[in-house]
Amino acid sequence: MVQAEESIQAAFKEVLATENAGVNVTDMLKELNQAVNLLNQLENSNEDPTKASFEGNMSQIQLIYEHAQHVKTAAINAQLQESIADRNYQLMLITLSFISALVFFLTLYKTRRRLKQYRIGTLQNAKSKVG
Amino acid sequence: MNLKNMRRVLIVSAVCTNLLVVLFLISTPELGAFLSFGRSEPFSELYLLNQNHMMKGVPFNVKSGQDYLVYIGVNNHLSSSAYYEICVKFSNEDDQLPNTRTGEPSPLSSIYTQRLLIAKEQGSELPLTLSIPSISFSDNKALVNNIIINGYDAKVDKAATWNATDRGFYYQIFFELWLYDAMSSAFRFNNRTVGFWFNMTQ
Repeated sequence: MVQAEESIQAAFKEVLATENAGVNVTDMLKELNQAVNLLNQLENSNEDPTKASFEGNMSQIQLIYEHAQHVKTAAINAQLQESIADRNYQLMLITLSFISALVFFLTLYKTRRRLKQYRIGTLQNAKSKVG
Repeated sequence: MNLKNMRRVLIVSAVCTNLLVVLFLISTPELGAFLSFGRSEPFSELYLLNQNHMMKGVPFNVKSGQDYLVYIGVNNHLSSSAYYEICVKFSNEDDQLPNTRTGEPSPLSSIYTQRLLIAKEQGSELPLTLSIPSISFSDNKALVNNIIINGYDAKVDKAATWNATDRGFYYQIFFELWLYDAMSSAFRFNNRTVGFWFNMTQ
């Protein structure tokens, strides 16, 4: 029973970490709640520990453990996927920022150059008029 | 391209770059969290309702062998999902109750526990069917041997003495909210408690 509870707690910790990473954990919580409900039933049951109920309890503990393990694995996978997606997103942002900065400086350079040429042309026109 | 057009191009490109920088800053989640203002203090809510989902009218004059339905509700206003434990405790007038000033739970042991996971900004309401199968009275004392909660039989063996002022044998069923702390890997009393006193009658 203690192991079943510990497996739920371990799964919950992973779910929390997944949630903090920005993943929707509704389905994980739903499945983990099934395990929690089974644990509630076990804890509140005060039936005599006959062989039959002992076997029943063991299968229930096994079910809790399986649910918790499934949620834990799903949470870890979701965290991995999220970290990959996050890294790709950051990379994309950096690339976009770099491209936009490059475009900006190129435009700035071109404009300044044209402005300079325009001023030279104006000055040359003025010079020829004076001459 | 004349001077006017060139100036326009220059301004447009500067505005576009600034917009891109602002978009980058807004889309960063950490910065979004840092910039969120006016967030209220996180807390958990525990409440008790009668069978009609009303706050008033919880069982008072309780008879043995009769079922009483109440609802216990929990709302999670914390910043993340939470793992709660509701401890149901049974006391007489002499027992020590939880102290919300010091944040101490009652030293009484739980007669029924219900754990549940709740997503942030979500709530859950649990039905609890209570019944006291038998009670014995002798002189100025009442003795409750067991309570059945949601079909589970909990041994209590709790006596109550006759209250001459309020004329009754008073017991209380109260609920404590405990919250799982992932750091210490243990449930901690969340300083939330609700309950109801009742007069045990024949």
